[in-house]
Amino acid sequence: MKLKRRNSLLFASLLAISLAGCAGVQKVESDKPFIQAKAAEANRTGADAYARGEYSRALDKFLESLRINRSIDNRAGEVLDLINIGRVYTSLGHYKDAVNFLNDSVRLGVSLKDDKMLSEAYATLAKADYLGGDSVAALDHIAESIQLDEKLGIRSGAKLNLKAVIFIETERRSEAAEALKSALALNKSSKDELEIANSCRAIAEIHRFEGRHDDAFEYFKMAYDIDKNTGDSKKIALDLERMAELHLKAGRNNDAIFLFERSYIVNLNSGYIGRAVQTLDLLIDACRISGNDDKAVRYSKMRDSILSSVEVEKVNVR
Amino acid sequence: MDKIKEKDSRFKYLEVKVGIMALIAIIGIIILIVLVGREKDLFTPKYRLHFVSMSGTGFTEGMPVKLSGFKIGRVKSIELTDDAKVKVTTEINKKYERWVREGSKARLSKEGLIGESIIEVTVGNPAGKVFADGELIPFEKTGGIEELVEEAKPVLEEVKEIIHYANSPEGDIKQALGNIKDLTAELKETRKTIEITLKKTNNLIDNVNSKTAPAADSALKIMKNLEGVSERIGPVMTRIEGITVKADTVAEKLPATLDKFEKTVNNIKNITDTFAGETPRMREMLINADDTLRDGKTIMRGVKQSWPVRLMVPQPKDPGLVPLDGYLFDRRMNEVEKKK
Repeated sequence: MKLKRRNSLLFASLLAISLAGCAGVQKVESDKPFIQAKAAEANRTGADAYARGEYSRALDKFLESLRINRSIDNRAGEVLDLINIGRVYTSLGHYKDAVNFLNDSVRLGVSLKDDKMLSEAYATLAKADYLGGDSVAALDHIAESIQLDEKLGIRSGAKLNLKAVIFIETERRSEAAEALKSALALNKSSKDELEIANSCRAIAEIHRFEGRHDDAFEYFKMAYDIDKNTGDSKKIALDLERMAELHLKAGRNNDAIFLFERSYIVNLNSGYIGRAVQTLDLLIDACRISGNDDKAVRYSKMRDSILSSVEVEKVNVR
Repeated sequence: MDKIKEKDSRFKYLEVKVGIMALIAIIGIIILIVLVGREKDLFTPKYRLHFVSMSGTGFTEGMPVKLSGFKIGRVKSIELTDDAKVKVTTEINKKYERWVREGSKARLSKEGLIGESIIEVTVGNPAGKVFADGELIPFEKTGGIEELVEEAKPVLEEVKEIIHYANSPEGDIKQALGNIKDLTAELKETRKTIEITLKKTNNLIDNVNSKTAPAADSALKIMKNLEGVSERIGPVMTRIEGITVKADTVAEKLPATLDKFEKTVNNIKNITDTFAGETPRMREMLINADDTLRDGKTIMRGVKQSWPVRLMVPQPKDPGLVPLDGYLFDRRMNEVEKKK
């Protein structure tokens, strides 16, 4: 009896689901939302790939989304795609391409009067400008972005971080410190782990430049602890390298060697061969300073073998 | 009972009323059976035709028999004969018998790429005799894509062989090409020498105009140059002769090679024709499959968006921006990475 009742319930549920499904079909008949959904799907796949560090795949997906959005004249989607493409190109180190797409996004943002997107476009443009070698344009653009945010009543810790780092690189450290103070507070209140780590790392850099090594070490350690959780190997390797340098300056040679070794391994395993070799150079110096010549010779051989394998690879690629 | 009937008039003639109700119900059921039966051709007169196939794969009892896309019957039974063949008996509606005549053939077919299997009966010769009950209708085995691929295999083998022959360094074609290359190089060399000689001749003519005295010397030089040229032309001519002999050998072998090529081209043409014949069907099949997939997708989306399934399926996020990441690795580090 119980089984019969259960079967009837199951049948009734299936019937309800099918009927509801049929009702749903009526709702999604039109083609435009369907195409728009395809663009959104491409965007989401691109964002996932970007988060995993698969920049080429992310780029393909954002370009696909851009093509679809342009074909249905979805301009809001288009500006989003242009900025995302700019960000991927920046991560790939193709700054000129990034600037081209970002300039397009600025033009579109202006015509749409979408200040929020315009602010994001300017901030990304600042990053691409700076990395492409144009610090002046970078500062202009980040200022423009922050100004637009103020107009909208938004405060972004990421943008303040970016501004601060450009200040540090252009040796305007006091202005950088001021920006970082606000950035850290903002990022902590929004619990943005990635940007909290960025603020800590930038503050550590200022301390390091100004010779306050213990403070610098503390902030690098804070950044490192967060980066370990977020799993950004590029930043983990950098944090380890900076901490190792500070150990070396304080005469803690063995600690320095240990951290340099870890930084080297993280770089190598993540495929950042150039950085791995650079860390290996620092490691060899540290070994020599600490009188550990055997280790220095071993690492030198390792370095030469990596460089020769890279050369072989280059020849093969050619 | 009588007392009840007296007290309540509704109980009067109860038996009659129940009888009428039962009669109406029975009539209703009969009408329903008749209607369904007519709809399903249960009462249509039928006759049986059978055919024999080498394999029973793809046949099922009850599968439809169609003529020009119309269902005219169904498969009644499938049985294995004494000689291990498969006898398929079909039941055809009598009203369609005028199209199933001598010349009609049965074949196993599919409706679309992923559609159900059907027995397709072709229209027979209008002057032919109508098939009688229990008669054997010829069964035609249709070639699927797999068979086309099988047919293409030997041709591809031949093409492969010819390409191998053409690519072989010891093959006539490669050798002939090598000889032609050598000859071209020699001719280039000769042309250069002749050009130099002509230039010198020009210079000599100029000199003759200005100085008549050393003309004899220059003439001698020209003679020497010409001699040199003729000496160099000698071996070239010998090599040309050698090449001509080899070219003759190649020419002798060419007809056989050309024959092979011709055969292959014919085979390819045959396959192309077969494919061309199948193309409209394949296109139709693909369109059907595409439609089916699209419908399936739409239904799935509909189900996903409807209650209560939408509560179970996580809703996709709106499209957004990837994080800006407010940290810059210094340019020096980026350059190092790019260089490596």
